[in-house]
Formats: sequence, structure tokens, C-alpha cells
Amino acid sequence: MHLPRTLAIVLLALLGAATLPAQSYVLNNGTVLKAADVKLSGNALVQEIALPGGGSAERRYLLNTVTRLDWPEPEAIPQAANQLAAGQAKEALDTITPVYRQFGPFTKTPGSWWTQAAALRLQALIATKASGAEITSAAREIMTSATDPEAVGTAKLALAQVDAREGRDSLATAMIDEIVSDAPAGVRARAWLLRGDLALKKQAFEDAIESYLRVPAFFGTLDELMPAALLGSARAYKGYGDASRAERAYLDVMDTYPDSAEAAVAKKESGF
Amino acid sequence: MTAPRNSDQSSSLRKPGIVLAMLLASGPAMAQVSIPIPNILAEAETFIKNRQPADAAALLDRVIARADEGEAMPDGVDMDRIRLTAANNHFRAQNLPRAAEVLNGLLAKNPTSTALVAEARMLLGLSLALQNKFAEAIPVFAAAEQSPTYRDKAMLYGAMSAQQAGKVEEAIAAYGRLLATSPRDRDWADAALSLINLQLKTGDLPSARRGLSLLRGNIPLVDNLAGLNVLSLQLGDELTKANDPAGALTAYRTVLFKKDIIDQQLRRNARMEADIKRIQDFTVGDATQMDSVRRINARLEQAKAAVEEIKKLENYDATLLFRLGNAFQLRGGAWEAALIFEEIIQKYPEAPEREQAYLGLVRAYSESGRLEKTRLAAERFQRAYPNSQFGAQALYLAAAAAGQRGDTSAQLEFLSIATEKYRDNRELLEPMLMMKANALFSLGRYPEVTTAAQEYLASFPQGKFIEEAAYISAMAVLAEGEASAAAHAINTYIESYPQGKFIEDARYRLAATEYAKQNYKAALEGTQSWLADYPTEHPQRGEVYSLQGDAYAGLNESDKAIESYRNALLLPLSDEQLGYVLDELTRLYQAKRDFDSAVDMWEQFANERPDHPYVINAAYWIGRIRSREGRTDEALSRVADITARYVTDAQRDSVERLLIEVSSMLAKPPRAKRGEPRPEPPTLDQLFARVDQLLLTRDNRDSATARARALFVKSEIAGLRKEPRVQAEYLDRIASTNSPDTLPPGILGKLGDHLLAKGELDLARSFYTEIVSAHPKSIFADYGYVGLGEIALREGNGNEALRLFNNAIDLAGARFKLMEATIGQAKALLQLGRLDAAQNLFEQVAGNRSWRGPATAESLYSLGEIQLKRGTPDDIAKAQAHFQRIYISYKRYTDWVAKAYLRSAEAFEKLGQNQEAANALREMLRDERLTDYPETATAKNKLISLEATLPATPAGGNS
Repeated sequence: MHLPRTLAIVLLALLGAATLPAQSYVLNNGTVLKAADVKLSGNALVQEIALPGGGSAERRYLLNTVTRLDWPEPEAIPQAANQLAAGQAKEALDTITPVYRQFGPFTKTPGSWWTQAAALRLQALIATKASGAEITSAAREIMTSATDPEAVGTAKLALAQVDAREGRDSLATAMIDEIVSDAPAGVRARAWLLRGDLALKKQAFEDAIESYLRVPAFFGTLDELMPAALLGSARAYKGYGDASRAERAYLDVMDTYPDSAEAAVAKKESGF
Repeated sequence: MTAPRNSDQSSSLRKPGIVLAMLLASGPAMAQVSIPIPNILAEAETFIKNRQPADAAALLDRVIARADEGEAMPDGVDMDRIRLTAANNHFRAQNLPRAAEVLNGLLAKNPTSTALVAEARMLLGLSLALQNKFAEAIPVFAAAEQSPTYRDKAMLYGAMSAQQAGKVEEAIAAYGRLLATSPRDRDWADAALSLINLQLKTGDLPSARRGLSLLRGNIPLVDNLAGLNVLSLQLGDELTKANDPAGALTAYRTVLFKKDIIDQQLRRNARMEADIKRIQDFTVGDATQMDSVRRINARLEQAKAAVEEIKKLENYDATLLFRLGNAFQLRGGAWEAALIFEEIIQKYPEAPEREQAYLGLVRAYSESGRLEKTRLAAERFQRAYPNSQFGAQALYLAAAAAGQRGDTSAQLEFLSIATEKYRDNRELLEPMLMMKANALFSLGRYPEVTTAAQEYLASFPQGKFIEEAAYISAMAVLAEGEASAAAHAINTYIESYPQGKFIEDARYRLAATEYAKQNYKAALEGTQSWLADYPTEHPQRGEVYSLQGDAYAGLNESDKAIESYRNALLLPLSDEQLGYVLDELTRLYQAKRDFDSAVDMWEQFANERPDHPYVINAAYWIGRIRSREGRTDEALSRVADITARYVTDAQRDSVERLLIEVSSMLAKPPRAKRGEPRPEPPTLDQLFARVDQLLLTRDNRDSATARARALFVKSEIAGLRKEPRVQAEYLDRIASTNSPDTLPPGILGKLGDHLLAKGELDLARSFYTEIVSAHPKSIFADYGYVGLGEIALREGNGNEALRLFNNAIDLAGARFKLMEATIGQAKALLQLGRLDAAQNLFEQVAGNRSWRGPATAESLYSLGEIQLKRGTPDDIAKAQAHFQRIYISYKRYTDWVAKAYLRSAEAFEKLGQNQEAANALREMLRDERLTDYPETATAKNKLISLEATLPATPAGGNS
């Protein structure tokens, strides 16, 4: 009886056809190499071929013939991002470093996950307070190898952060000026936060207030940056002598983002 | 497929379409030829596989018809499933009425399979909805909600049908149920958008706002970002109208800017297209999936259209920014609003919103208390839109801001422009004229007050402020000291407004005019009748008693005067009046040689009002009176006693004033007794031991603040005893052993100045900052602002410096640093290239006799610099005069003298007077005091080059 087959078709349609994406290299001549069938060796992918009658031989495909990777997003990428968000920077670094290395030979190849991994690694290095040289090297690598404006912007920002951390404020300011003029929104917003920090350090309170408040004014959809922006503005208002606005900004952090680390700091600093 | 068939049939069936067409088209003559049901079903399945739903449906209809006619179906044939499949294919073939008919027939038979029933209901609902029979579809979808499989889709379609049927409440309820229980996916986000749309239409703004916040946390799920943008804008506008700026701000902040929305929507569109293709490629497609495709398509089309629309909107970002700016402004976010309005002005020169953005900018700067920026914004607005309809409003706002900050000069400047330029704006002219009269009054320009008040009365004879205008006019006459004329004006006011709002004050002032005319009796009568007529709790009563005391004093009735003043002391008085009354009582008691009463009064005051700033006066008078009685030690110990009460409290900034008194009393050399040689003054060590003895007790010696204060007194004593090295050493000790947060503001200020003078800018900055951030209300706050302003000046940050010097005066009252703040303002203005304003201030400093000294020399030098910058021969000649004045009249200030000589020579040179230039340099080089100044080396070189241009002089000539 054929009716069950009809039903099966309908059910199949309902379920959709779910297939796991492959991990493969696509070469410039159209050849597709499954990742499981080759290994990386020097500047080539090496495939072992069993010879008829026993024995084996190697076939080498130069890396510069790889034009695309068909590769699903490695689990380590969202995992490291989550670890960073949860403040587990060391763990994030351990998670992402193997991916960063794995895709190292394919920094600019379409379908490669190197840029994402390198950007996460950079953030983890900053969060673990790695040495300035290490961060600078990671940032410069992204700036020269990546084409994604977000990643390049993040790398520039990292350089500015290192400069700021090591007291080279004018260099940091110059880099920030460059970032805020052409980087994608998320990077620009973070650059303004850093600029606020620098101004606050110099006790240029008006400049600090304006820098921090650019985040809620122009980047209102970036909720994750608001607690830092509001806390910074509260401190800057305080220095500027506007106690009531400082108080309101502290309360804003505590009320709107009660679970943020900044809320705890705001509570302590404001005495509320 | 089990039924047998012959070879012909078999070969024919290889072309099913043809055979079936023949069979189905056959007439009654062939009725006896009956194709076996399994064959038809097999054929139908082939059609389904080949995506020919109409053909499949037609075949299945035949099966249904034969079953309905009573033909027995082969084993295993499930007619319910056949009917459902038929309906599905009719639906796919867009034969919706037939699909609905088949499904109604199926459901009427009450099939036992719940899954099949659910599927049938969903399909029926969709078939009806797509025929626009929404009202009929609603109950069908409601019934389908019982199926766990189709629950979410049924709720979604039910809500959509209700919405289409105009049953808004029903739709909202259905969407609400769906959003509360269904998984958060892109359909969920789409449903949320629909719900917010409905809530907006029904005016349920709080729910719409909550919905939007929820969506904001799930942005990646939203396919139609452009739609979200539109809804957010609509919601923001509605919430603004409903006076909910916080809500409006939340709404506007979810709206993306043009580039972002286009980029993100295009990415989403690509994703939607991929989804559609995936569904179409991988499935034969049931009704709900087909509808999913249809809905994704619809969303895609909407989004594409929205993107095209957005691309066409040139002012999209400016409009959004303007809304954001207004929302921030209304919510009290003046700083954010200012940033946004600046952005509109800078980046969107052609936007229609730009003009109003200027008005917003003026308001935002004004509300954030940044007067200088307010002023500049108002000026920029005037230049950019000289004929703007909002010009008057902007100037009015700027004037009001200046008034609030106490900058009456700036206020008057704005008002003068506005009242000149916008005379036709009657609505604003009226309050502006009145504000102008008040500003003039505050500036002490009394004759102009009368003129302004008269101008108001002439322009608005029935105006809202005619009483105020009449009264301020009378007060201006009084303030000018024209007692008789003032009395006349006040009497006129009293006659015109016997129940007026200023009547109590008018009667008091009238009595005061009598006192001013030395008609003490009349003044006394005036105060007596006032005290009789107005209640005891009247806030002016203390002031009237004080005037009564004055009148009695004028009549030489000291005891009655004392009684009146003491009555005044029992009532509320301003600090200024309180100080006056206390001083008058002290004077009267001293005149009567009743020292004990005077001391008792101050003791009582110090005990009852220990926090009052006049406790310092108390200590001063107690010390002075007791000293005069020859009881110096007692005086010192009493002053130290008052001081010691507060010595551990860093917040009590008035202690430092007492410490300075103590320092001064200790440092003073002892008086010689008559007939005896002058005693040796105590050594510094002896004095320092006395300081410890007076200020540090067992209870307070562990306090870091108390110890720092004792060190501070020692440094002051060293200063008074002309021991600058010791003084610096003690200040350094305080700075190195105390963190800024343990020190009181007076000491912080002194330390900041000391460190600034040593060039330790960062350390100085930390002390000054502690003053303005931790003690902004302190009497020493001006030390902080002036010090930070000075640092900003040195760092070349003129704007910040100007703000800080303004704060020293406007916020801190510049009790100690008025001269430094004023000269600082002038220097900042000069650094900013605002020569006229700088010149004005430097002239004020140079012309102030009480500030005569280095500040005068510096101001003269700067005035010369300003004239040199202007550069006309006339200006250079004026510059020359300023420089000359320094080395002629202010010789003591050698650092300025050295600079002035050099610039003087330059000025002569520019005027072509090389001989005079050389003379000035020679004179400079003759002054031995200047030998070590770097200017001297420059002068020598310059003189050599100048002499080369001069004609040879005979020996012994001008040298």
C-alpha cells in the first residue's frame, strides 16, 4: 500500500532535511578535500593514498590553492565568547587558542574562522592583563591579516588600551581619534569609553562626561556597554561638581543593570 | 501497489497524465470501466511527487466520490487520510473553496485520529483565512490550539485572523497567549511586532513599551528590522505626546541609524531568501509550511520596500537624532541632548531639523549649567539663522541660564540683543524686558533699571508684571541713595497697590528711607507700625527689628537699640543681617564698656550655633576684647579652645580660619611693658611647642587631621615670621604624610598652591581635585577651581580653564581667590583668542586698587600683548604704553619688568623706532636685578642686531 509513503513524504517535509555540514577544503580547481582525509603539514595539505597491492603514497596540495573552507562554526567560538562575558578570561583564552592556531594558515581564506578566533583571543589577552607586547603583537597580527572592519577596529582599540595602560596617553588618544572616525559602531562606542577613562584620569571632567555619554546618546542599542558608560559618567559628574547628576547616574546603573559588576561598584562609591 | 493490471495499462501508466486524463474525461459510455482505487492512488502519489497538486487533488476527489457513493475501499485505505491529502493538494493548487469543503466533510465525520483532526483544522483555518473568511477561521484556529503540534501556529494564525477580522481585542489576547508560551523564534518576534502594532493602535502604550523592551533583548530574531524601526519611532512619538520621555527614549534607542538599518536588513533579507529556498528545495510542503514561505515572503517584500524607502530618506538620521535629542532633553539628559544636537548641526547642514537643533543646543547647554557654551551656541545660532523664528527663544533661554549661574552681565547681553532684535515677539518680549530690569538691578545699574521698567510699562500697560515693574523702579531709586525720591516712588506704589505683593517690604523700605534721611523718629514709627500690623512669624520681622535698633541708635537710645537688636537676633535673619546685628551689638556694648556682655553674647552664639561661619567672628571678638583688657593668654586659650572642638573634623572648613587667627596671635611679638625693655620674642621651637599644647589634646592627638592642622599652624607661623624654608618644609610634611581625603579643604588649598608653585602639577592636581569633588560647598572651594584652572591653562586647555575659573566665581563664590579667578578668566580668554573679553577683564584687574601688585603688572603686560596681537600702529603704541608702565611703576615685580622691557623694545621696533627700542634694552641691561633672567640674554642679542641698524653715535653719546 502506498499511502504510508505519501504520509512519509509529508512528515519528511515537516521535519526538514537536516544534514550536518562537512568540514572541507575547496581548492582552486574545484577539488573538495574532506578535513578528515588530509592533515596539515608545512605549507600543504597532505592526503595519504593507499596504493593497490599495498603500501601508500602522499599527495600534497599547497595551501595557496585552497580558495574556500566549508566549515561549521567551531563550538569553541561561542563558548569562549560566553566565558569572556562571564569574566572567565583565562578559560576563554585556553578555549580559543587552539582554534586560533588551527585556522592560522587560512587567515584570509573565505569560510575561515581565524578572524573571529583571533579577535576573541585578543579580548581574552586584554582581560587577563597580558603583557603589552603580547597584546600589541596579537592586535597587529589582526590588523595585517584580517579584513573584517569590526576585528580590525577591535585590534586598534586594543593598541589604544595598551598605550593607555602604560601611560602613553597621547598615543592612545591619537588611536582613539582614528577609531571614532571610521570604525564600526560597537568599536566606536568602546573607544569612547576608553576616551572617557583617559579624560577622567586627567581630571578633564567635562571631556570625560561627554565621552562616556556618547554611548547612551549614539549607541543606545549596545546595552552591554551601558553600565560602564553610566558608571564613568557618574564619576566624571562627581569630579565636575554636579553631585545631583552623579547621584542619578549611580542610581541608573544600580536600577537598570542591577546584576552588572558596575552596579556593585556604583553602590560602593555612591554609598546608597 | 498490489492490484493486477494488463500490459496495455501498464504501458499507459508510464504516462500517467495522459491515461488519467483520458479516464477522467471519459463519458457515461465508459462508466462501466472502473479503475482500481490503488491504481488511482498510485497515480495521485506520482502527481504529488511531481508537484502537480491540482492533478493529484482531482484524482483523490474521484476516490472520495466513489467512497461517498458507497463503493467499498480496499483494505488499508484510510479515507480520512485520503480526504486530508486531497484537501492539502487542493490547498496547494490554490483551490481553497474545495479544500475547505473537503475538510469540513472530513471533520463532520468526527475522525478518531487527533493528529489528523489537528492537521485538518489547521488546513481548514488557513483555507478560510486565505479566502478572507477571517471570522470563520478564528474558531477553527482556536480549536486547533488543542493540538500540541500545531498549538503555536494555531495561536499565531488565530491572532492574525482576528486582527484581519478587525477583532483587535481578540487578536491582542491571542498574541499575548502565543508570546507567553511559544518558543522564541523568528515567528515569535514577528508576532511580537504585530502585537506592539495593535497595542499602539489601541493606545495601550505601557504594554507596547514592555513589548518593545522584550524585543530589544531578542533583536537577532527580528526579520523585519525596518518594521521594528517604524514601530519604535511611532511608539516613541506616542510616548512623547503622553509625556513619558523615559519611555520615548527607550523606544527611540531601539531605532538604528540609516547605514546600520540598511546593512542589517539586507543581511536579514538574504537570510530570509535562503530560508525560502531551503523550505522549497527540501520539502514537498504541507499547508503550514507553504504558509510559512508565504509569510516569510511577505516579510521579505515588506522589508525590501522599507529598505528602499529608507534609502530615499535623506534626513532619516537627522530626524531620528532630533527625536533622541528631544527625548533626552525632556528626561533631564541635557548633556546627552547637547551631544546629539551638536551632531545634527555638524553633520547635517541641509537638514530641516538643524535650525531647531540649535535651539535645543542652547537649551541643553543652559540646562547642563555650561554658561560659556550656552553663550557660544546662542551666538552660533544667531550667525547661522539670523532670522530664525526660534532666535528669541534661544536668547531667552541663554539669558535665563546666565541668570541662574549669577552671570548677570552675560544675561544682560543676551537680553539686550533679544529685546532689540525680536521686538515683534510679544510673547517673549514681555518676560525679557522684566528680566532685563532685574538684571540691571543686580548689576547695580539703577538708572537703567528705571528706564527698563518704564519701557516695560509703556510696551505692556496691561502686562503681567506691571506691579513688579513699578516696584523695581522704586527700589532702583532707593538703591541710588535718593531717599526722598525713593520715598515718593514707594508711596506711589503703596497707593496703587494697597494689597500688593510687595506691600510689607514697601512699608519697611519706606521706614528705611526715613532712616536714610536721618528722620529717626519717623523711621522708628514706621517700624513700630509695621511690627504691630504684621504677624510675629513674618519672615521680615527680624530685619524690621534691626532697622528699629538703627533708629534707636540714631536717637542715641542705646539700651533700646540693644533691646531691638537682641529681638532681631531671636528671629530669622540672613547671614549678612545677622553679622550686621552682632557687630552693632558688639559696638554698642564696647561703647558702654560692657565687655562681658559682648563676650557673653559671642560665647552664647558660639555655643548655640557651633557650625555657623560666624563662630570665627566669635573667636575673633572674644580674643580681641580680652586682649584689649590685657588678657591675651586668656584670649588665646579661648580661641584655641573653640578651635580644638573641631580640630579632628576635616569637614569643618571654618576651623582653618581660626587656625590662621591662632597663628597670627602666636606669631605676634610680645608687647613691651611700660618702662621695661621689649622682651625677646619666643623662638620658633617654643611657638611650635605652644601650638601642640593648645591644639593637640590627649583625645585628639591620634587624629591625622588634628596633627595635620597643628603642622599647618606651624607653617603659617613660619610664614609670618618670614621663615619661608621652614614654612615649605612643614607644608611638604603635611603633603607627604597625609592622603588628600584626610585633609580639610583649607589645608588642601594651601598645599595645592605650594605644590603648584614648586611645579609638581600632578600632585597639586590631586589636592585641588579633592577640594572640588569632596568639599564643593566649602568656603575654600575656590582654591580647588582656581588651582585646576591654572593647571588647565598651563596644559593649553583654555576652554576647561575658563570653565574652572568661572566655577571658582559662580559656584564657589571666590571668597579667597577672586583676584586669581578673574585674572585666570582673562588669561583663558586670551588663550582662546577672545581678545575683547580678555582685555575687559585684564582692565578690571589692573584698575582694582586693592589688587595692586603682581596681578596689576601681569594684567598690564597682558593688555600690552593683546594690543600687540591687534597689530595696527595705534594698537602697538598702546601696547608700548602698557609695557612702559610696568618698568616705570611696577619695578618691584622684576619677572614682569624683564618681560616688559623686551616686549617694549619689540613694540618700538615695529613702530620703526629702533633708537627707542635700543634705549629700552640698554636700560634693561643696566638693571642688575635682571641679570639672571633669561630675557636678559635675549635682550643682549637683540641689542646687537638693533645697533647694527642705527647710525653711528659719537663717543660718549647715547649708551
